[in-house]
Order: sequence, then structure tokens, then C-alpha cells
Amino acid sequence: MKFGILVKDGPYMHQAMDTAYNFIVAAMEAGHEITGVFFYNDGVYNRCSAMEPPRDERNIMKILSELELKGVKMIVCVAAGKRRGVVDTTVCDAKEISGLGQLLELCIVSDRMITF
Amino acid sequence: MLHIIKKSPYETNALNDSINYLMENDIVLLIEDAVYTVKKGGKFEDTVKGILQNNKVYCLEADIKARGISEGEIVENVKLIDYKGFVEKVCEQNPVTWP
Amino acid sequence: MSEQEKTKVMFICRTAPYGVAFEQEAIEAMVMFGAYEQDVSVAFLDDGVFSLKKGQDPSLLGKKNFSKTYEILKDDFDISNIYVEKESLEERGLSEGDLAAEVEILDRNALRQRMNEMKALLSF
Repeated sequence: MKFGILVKDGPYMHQAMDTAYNFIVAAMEAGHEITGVFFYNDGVYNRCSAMEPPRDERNIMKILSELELKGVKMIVCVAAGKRRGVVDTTVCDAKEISGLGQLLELCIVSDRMITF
Repeated sequence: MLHIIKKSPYETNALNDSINYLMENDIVLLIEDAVYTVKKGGKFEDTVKGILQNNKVYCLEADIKARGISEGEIVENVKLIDYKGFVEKVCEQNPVTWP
Repeated sequence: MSEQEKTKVMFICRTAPYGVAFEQEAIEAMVMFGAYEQDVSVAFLDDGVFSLKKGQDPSLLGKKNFSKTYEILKDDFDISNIYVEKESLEERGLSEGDLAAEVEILDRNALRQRMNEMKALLSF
């Protein structure tokens, strides 16, 4: 199946991104396709390039980037990011910044859309 | 539909709100702080039993374990699933999240 | 685009405005979705119904008032349906006359059916 993911909460304070991450890993292991992860609201902070937690803690930005290397598309909402200072110079990859049309696209092409 | 609930029922109304929207064959999946719902002897034990009369209730095992709730403390007939099971439930039913 | 080809998407708005500010960005998404000629619905339930309360004036908070935006969404931005749940209104002491925008009041049973017809449900 094709899954689209919407992440609305930021990292560390809320569990949403961790749950979404574990869901994505399990879905890929089961042979499903992730059509994309759309970061909206405070969710855009998950892709902040300056993220540097203590070494013994998970780096959410990095573990997501590892998923990206495996082909999971990451999309940071341009408007929500701009409002919060997550822009092309502060996001981990400027190519990830895109518009809300991408969220609709995920709704159209995915069999299931999941809000975390 | 697969009703995904994330918040503790002691904190928000999401559990009750979602119950109002349950249809036949719908599944309830409790994740994150919502797993406190299924603790035996808690205020929501009867609510869970009520849901179980018509619908299935699943709990994310990782969240239960993290919060120190042992299997014996969980209301009977609530099923534990891992993330793989979570994925399977989403395949079965269209998800709606009650944040 | 024929009706069959359109993707049915519903925004489920369950949070009151101001304390947590999902509203503004939910509206931004609704506007964008409307522009793409899909079948977009919006449902207000639980505390989300407070978004529609008339007489809001958040100027002292330095925030914008979006309560009147919803009618414009429907008329000018091609949002197919805007629903508010009857029971949630009643529980909060509100009725049709208290709303800032003309939206469709549906009871829980009817809204549940609409929800069930959707391809994607986005919760705010």
C-alpha cells in the first residue's frame, strides 16, 4: 500500500515524530511505499539543520535524513517554515521546502493518509 | 475507520469524542499517552469494556511498556500490537486521528 | 474534472482558536486544496466549533480573527462543504444564531457518514 504521512508536532516535546518514524520503518519493512512525509505546523522543526542534541540522544533530524536516503520524500511546508524560521538556510536540505499543494498530492496518490 | 487516539483520557476528551464516531467494524487504536486508558481499575475501565462490546481495541505495545503498564494491568480483551501491527491496522481501515 | 475523479478530503477541526493556533494554518491548507479542484470538506466538532463563534475580537492578543473566513472559503475558494456538529454546539451552549459564518449544521450520525466516505482525513 501507499502511505502518506502528515506530521504536525515538533521534535522532542511531543511523541508524534517518534511514532511516525517507527511507523514508517515498520511500513517499509513490510514492503509498503511511503509517498512522502509532509511537515506542517510545528512539525517543520523536525527538519531544522541546527538540531544537535547530546550525543547519547537520538537526533531526529538525522534519523529522518537516513530514511530520506532510503527514498522517503521529506516535504517541509514553505509557509509554516517561513513563519518559524525554518527556511532554505536553516532546513537540512533546501530542496525539501515546498508548498501545500504537495500535501494535497499526498492525499491523492496515497491509499492511506495518516496524521501524526 | 481506524480511530487513532493519542492523548490521555484524563487530559482530553479525545477518547469520548472518538467513541461518538465509532461505526460497526471500526477499530480503536490507542497510542502514546492514550494507552493509560486501558489500565485496570482506572476511571476508563468501563468505557473500554463498553467499546469492546462492539469494536476491537488495540494498544501500541511500545507505549504500554514505556509507561510501566504490565500485561496483567490491562483490561481484558484489549490487544497489544507492535508497529508492524499498527501498519496492518492502517491497511485494514482508513485512519482518522483524534489528536 | 468529473466528480468520480476528485479526491475526497476532509479537514477535521477539533481545537478552539487562540490557545493552540492550528486554525490559521488549517485555513491556509484549505485555501490551497480548494484551488486544486478536489472535493474538500471541513468539519468542526468538539472545541473546534468555538472557531465559528461570532463576536470574536483577538486584537488585544495581536492575532487575526478567522471566524468569518469560512464563508469566503465556500463561496470563493471552492471548498465543497463546511459542516459543524450539532451536538458539539449544544454541549457548549451554542446554536445557529451564535455562528459567525453560514455553515451546514449536521448531527453526529450524518457527519459520521460523511467522514466514512472520505479518502483522506486530516486532523487539526
